[in-house]
Amino acid sequence: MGLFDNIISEQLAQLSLRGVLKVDANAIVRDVVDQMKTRSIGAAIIVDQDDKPLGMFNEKILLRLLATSPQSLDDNVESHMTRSVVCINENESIVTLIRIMQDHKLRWICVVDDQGKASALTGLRGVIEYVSDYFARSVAVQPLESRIAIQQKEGA
Amino acid sequence: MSDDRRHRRKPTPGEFEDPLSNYDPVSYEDDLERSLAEDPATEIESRPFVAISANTSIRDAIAEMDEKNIAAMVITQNDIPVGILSERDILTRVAHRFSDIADEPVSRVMTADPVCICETDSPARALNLMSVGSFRHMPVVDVDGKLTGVIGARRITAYLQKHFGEITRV
Repeated sequence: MGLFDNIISEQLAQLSLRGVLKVDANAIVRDVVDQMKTRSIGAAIIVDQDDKPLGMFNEKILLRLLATSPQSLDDNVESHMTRSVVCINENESIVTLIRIMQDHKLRWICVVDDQGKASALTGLRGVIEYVSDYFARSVAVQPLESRIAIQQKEGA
Repeated sequence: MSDDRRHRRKPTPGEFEDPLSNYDPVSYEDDLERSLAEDPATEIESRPFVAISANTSIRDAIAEMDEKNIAAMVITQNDIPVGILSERDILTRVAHRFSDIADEPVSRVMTADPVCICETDSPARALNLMSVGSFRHMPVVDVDGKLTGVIGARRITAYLQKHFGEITRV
């Protein structure tokens, strides 16, 4: 099977899912931002007492707060989170993830288990790593470099 | 692979052999693989993009990112990318001390010397660089190193979705 078939048939478990940062609705935005920074993760999921997602706070919202009202960093996260969290079951296929991210213009998606509890976070980074792994033999050997412009052109 | 398959006819000793006669064209399982390996990186939409100068204040840069609803902007000098400012930079370097540094130049918090992808490189290489470097945005440059676009997470999703078309609607 090629990459096309793999993406259609394989489940989300094949992606490198990230641990979800769960926070309480009463948490202060500034503290949530600190946790996101410490864990180097772009989104936090606000969950209820049963671990079911209530909302999401992400870098995009942080940017908007800094641009419009920096004092809001001291508010409860509940007042700034997105209230509709798009979730995906961990048994869904990778192609479904791509469709949902594109249709809803999302960068992060909360992965839930069969009980609807937030179990992981995924997004485009997981898909990029998946595709990249497929091409690892032919592409990964190339050096990571920042100055790729040719200093001295050769030939025609 | 046997010699019989690689050569139409085995060269006799001393006979000139065109090196290209040994060339086995790469075969791909599907069009997505072919596109990832052989199309130019510009197959992934890379425009429009926003470039600013290193002297722009952090406050103004953030305001522009919010206003234009973009997740990253490239800092250029004579059209050459010298830095990139992304939402991740805002999270890790700005958020906790925004009021102290809001009027400082963006060069203080940008990621300097960003890894770039040449517009003639393949999409697979772009994704590989992003995976290895954990980037979500990467400037696209021409052969002179001048900025011609920006590849980002959402644009890659759109590129992938394009190849699945109606299948994703099932």
